[in-house]
Amino acid sequence: MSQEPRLTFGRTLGIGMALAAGTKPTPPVPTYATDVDQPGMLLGQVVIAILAVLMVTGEYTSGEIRTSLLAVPPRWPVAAAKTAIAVATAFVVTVVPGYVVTLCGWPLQRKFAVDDRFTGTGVRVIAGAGLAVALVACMAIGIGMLVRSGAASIAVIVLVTIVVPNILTSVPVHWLDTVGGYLIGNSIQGLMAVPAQIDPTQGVFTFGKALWISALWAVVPLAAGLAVLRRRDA
Amino acid sequence: MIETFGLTKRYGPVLALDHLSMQVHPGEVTGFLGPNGAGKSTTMRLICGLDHPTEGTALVNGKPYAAHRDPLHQVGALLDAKAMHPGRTARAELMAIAQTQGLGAKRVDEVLEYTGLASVAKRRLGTFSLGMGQRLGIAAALLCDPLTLILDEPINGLDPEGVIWVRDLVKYEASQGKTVFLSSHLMSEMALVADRLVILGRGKLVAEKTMKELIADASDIATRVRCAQATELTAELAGPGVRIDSLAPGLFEVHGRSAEQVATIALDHRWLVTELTPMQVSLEDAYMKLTQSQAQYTGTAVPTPGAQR
Repeated sequence: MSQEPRLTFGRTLGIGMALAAGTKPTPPVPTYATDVDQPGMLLGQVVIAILAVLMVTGEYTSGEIRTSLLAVPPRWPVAAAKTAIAVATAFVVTVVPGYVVTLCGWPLQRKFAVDDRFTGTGVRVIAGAGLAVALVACMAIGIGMLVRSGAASIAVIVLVTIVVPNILTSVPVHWLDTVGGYLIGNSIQGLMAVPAQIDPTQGVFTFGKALWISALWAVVPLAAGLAVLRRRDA
Repeated sequence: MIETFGLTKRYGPVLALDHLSMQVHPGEVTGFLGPNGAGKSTTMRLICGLDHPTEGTALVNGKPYAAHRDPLHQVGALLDAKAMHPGRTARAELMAIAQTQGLGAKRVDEVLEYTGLASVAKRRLGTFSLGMGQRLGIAAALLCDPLTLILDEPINGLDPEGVIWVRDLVKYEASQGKTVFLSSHLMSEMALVADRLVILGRGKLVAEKTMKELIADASDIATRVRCAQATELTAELAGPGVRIDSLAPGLFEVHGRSAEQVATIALDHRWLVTELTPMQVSLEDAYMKLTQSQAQYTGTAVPTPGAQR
């Protein structure tokens, strides 16, 4: 995983800068890095999710998992270590470039800017994005432990984060739309939205609601993956 | 010390291991023999806690493997030499294992030197040959200087020098009071190193013997007899301690009677004996005899060289 965080970092920075340069929001609404960089955020989530999955499934592909479990027979520390690294990496490669983008974008957008993007709300929005991506990484680790095959795990993640939400929103049935809102792809929007700008009619949850729904998406697969890892033959 | 009590493993409909109870003692090399698919690797995986038994328990040095707080100091296992990260170097792989057990680079370098891998320590494992991978697996098993060594087919893919090295290694480790449990399907290999044998067939224990006992069994001399009056002759030969295996009409092997005794009895009755051959049983034969009926995967007999198909 040595190349990829740098790649993710660079990508966030590049796309963020490009978007910041091109965006012309109507004053006086302030814009924030994550707000502007929506496509970048989605890309970032998918990249991080794939890398997190590979952290787990790669060991099954090489057979190294047996070496790991021989060295750590209680097994849960293996999962805990992988989760910790994935979550920390996801958070850092989201937050650091997020803040750098804000910093670099500021001169380009100076006339629309409000000062609080470097403090208060601005910091919170970026930290929220970091949290969102960290939770996605956590879910991916869980799915990896459950499924064990890299290709199959990635398929599951793409299905849950991209395909299903698109199907649900394209079907003109109201309650399906509501269901779609509870999928992780939407629930994490509430984590990185500017609180004052949250529009519930757009299906974006408030921070509190977004947090517990997203946390469920992260914790349930992780707990299931851990249970299976401990019980299954390696 | 390894002990199993009624160890059973079922994979779906397949009963891979059927109530295996055995003991592997410290200070000796115990050979684990059996045909392909007999359950040797399954047993080793169960002992090391990688697979969970359907029934029964396995203890290593008095505890289940997973209950040890320093597992690699208790047990060094070579189960699957290919179970390594292909992108890591030999040294990095051993370092990763060492760090989980609180060991440092010094011990890693020692083991690399000991197993003859020092010169390829910086090469990626993906480029390793079967034999080099096997050496690295042995290095990983020896890393923490464990009390018990479990080696699954350690000589697979090794060059002659490596084979001799492994033989010396297991004998040395046993002489240091370690428990050494090593599997193979080659009796000839076991004959050179093992003090005791555990023989498995179709997941069941076939025999648990010392090498001495097996050699004693093997030195039992049978006599092959060909005689038109085989039925009458076998009736005359029968007695306590005598075993007769009928091979074909008019052809049988007798255990417990010497060729001379057979000839004397036949002469007394004026029966013509057309063949009388003392059959020395080799260690290989003794093993084959024990496991023959247990082999799951047997090829068709190959014609003798030169014979017409």
